[in-house]
Amino acid sequence: MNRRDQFTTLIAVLCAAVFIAVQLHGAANRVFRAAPAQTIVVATPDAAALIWQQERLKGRLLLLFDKYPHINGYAYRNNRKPPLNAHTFVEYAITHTIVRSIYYIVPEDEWHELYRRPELKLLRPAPGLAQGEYLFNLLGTPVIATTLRSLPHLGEKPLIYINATLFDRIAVMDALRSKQISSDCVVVYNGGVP
Amino acid sequence: MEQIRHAAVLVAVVAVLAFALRFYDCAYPPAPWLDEGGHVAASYSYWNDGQFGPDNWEHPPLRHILLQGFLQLFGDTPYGWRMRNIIFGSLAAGLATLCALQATGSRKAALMAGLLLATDPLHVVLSRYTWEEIYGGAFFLAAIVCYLKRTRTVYWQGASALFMGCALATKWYYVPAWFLLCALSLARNGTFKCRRDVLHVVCVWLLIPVSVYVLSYYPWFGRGYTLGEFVQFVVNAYYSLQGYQLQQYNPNLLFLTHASAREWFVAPIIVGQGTFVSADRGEFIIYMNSLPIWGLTLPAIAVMAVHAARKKSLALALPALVFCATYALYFIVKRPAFIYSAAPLLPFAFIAIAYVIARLSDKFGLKCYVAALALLVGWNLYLYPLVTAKKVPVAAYRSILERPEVKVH
Repeated sequence: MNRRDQFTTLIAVLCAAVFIAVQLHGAANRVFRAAPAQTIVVATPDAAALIWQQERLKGRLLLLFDKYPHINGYAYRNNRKPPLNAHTFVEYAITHTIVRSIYYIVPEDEWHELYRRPELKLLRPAPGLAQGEYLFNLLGTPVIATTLRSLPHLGEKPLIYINATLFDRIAVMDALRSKQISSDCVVVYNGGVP
Repeated sequence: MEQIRHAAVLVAVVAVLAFALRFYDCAYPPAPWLDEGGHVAASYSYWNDGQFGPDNWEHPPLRHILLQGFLQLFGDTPYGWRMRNIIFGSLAAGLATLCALQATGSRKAALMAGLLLATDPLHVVLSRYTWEEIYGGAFFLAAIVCYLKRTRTVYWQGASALFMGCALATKWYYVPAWFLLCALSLARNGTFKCRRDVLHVVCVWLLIPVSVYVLSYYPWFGRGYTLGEFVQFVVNAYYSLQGYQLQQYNPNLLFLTHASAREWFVAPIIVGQGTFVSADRGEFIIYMNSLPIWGLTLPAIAVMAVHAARKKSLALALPALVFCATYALYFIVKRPAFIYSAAPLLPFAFIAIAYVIARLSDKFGLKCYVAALALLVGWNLYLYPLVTAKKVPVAAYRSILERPEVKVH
């Protein structure tokens, strides 16, 4: 092996090392609940973020059954993390590294309305989904709007947040079970204080 | 050996002058200027949490990591915010000298190219704040300098690809030139004919830059992401950047009046902010093209390209090729292109201008060269106090400040 071939091999090995290192780094920074799976009913939406924070969850995928948008770019506009309230709880969870990606679930019959809501800022179709669109947000967090029927099989347990004033909690959980999607932490908001 | 010593002295002189112009009084203004506040906050945010806010998430994050290094060294002070650009801006002037020397073989051209970059008002003002174009441009220039090395090419090509990776991990401006160098490497000495050689070039020009790019996202991966998600994220960034429209920007942004790259080398662009400290004196921070010099760019690039073709010299052609490849990007992309994006093109523009003037001076004598050098550098130095917030007599710059296209807020 001449010097050039040795150099080529070294580059290939280093590149593979970089890819493996970042992949492992990502996987190592997903924290799930150690305790058994739990469904928690909360009085206010922001309690969801508090629960996730208390459980020390990290790097998680969120299934959001609610009326989006939840990311208004507070951190972008104000040079700091947002305070926690009913309107910022998702952005709070993102900036505290609890949530890394979001599937925003749109009711089947409202899907086409998505294209008439400019505030959602559709970015591009999500590949592999019959109904799925990436949504732009100022934090760069991947947010995919999709319907429950188009939701793909997830390779991990997601966090689930259900606004029960908009979605039938039982129907949602049944549909997820049929897709073999389970969660270690389901938070249900039953209404009350907005 | 003598030649190396001369080249080293030339590079050092230009770099030191560039440093002096960039460093002098750099702590003024003492508060963050324009995007600086956002850049500094984003650096902490990225370093600690892998978050991009309050800066744009679409641009690659090496800038946050670099800035964090300087914040650790100099503290959260104007020096901590600005020393990165001052140092890389000065290095860029030195590298432009070296690049011109390698490309043209002329010390006269090298000195002029270096001095034009060292004193250029736009490069100076961008070097005194936190603009990405300065250190990204310096990495880019370092990649070209390494590419042009003719000895021990295996390692220099590796170094070139490494610097190109750093440039790409700063902004996407450099993608066309990256493809260009990759293609030239494949074409060099019939490399593409031998599978082993192709494998080597691909390893060097693809794997090294991609590894650097991916590695710059290490803190972001720390938020739980995987490589598959990374690919989707990069595609999202591409779509988002393509969707940028002028009306989405903050209406107070200084640069909005000139949003087309077509103007850069043919029309005056002068935007900035200023304050009148007395009836006849004011201080300004101005972003402008130095049109008497920039206006020579396109003809000089054309002349250099023709000469390179006649001589069949890739080294001579490279600055023109890199300039054209990079400039072409701004005509292809849909988003607005503001004047600061011209900074990475400047070294190659000045190399072409310096080459043409050096060639002319071969015909018309050294006095012609000295006069041109004094005139061009003198013009830039005349503009220096105007663009760097020095208290200047307004009367001395009235002809510039009162031009109808000047938008000083």
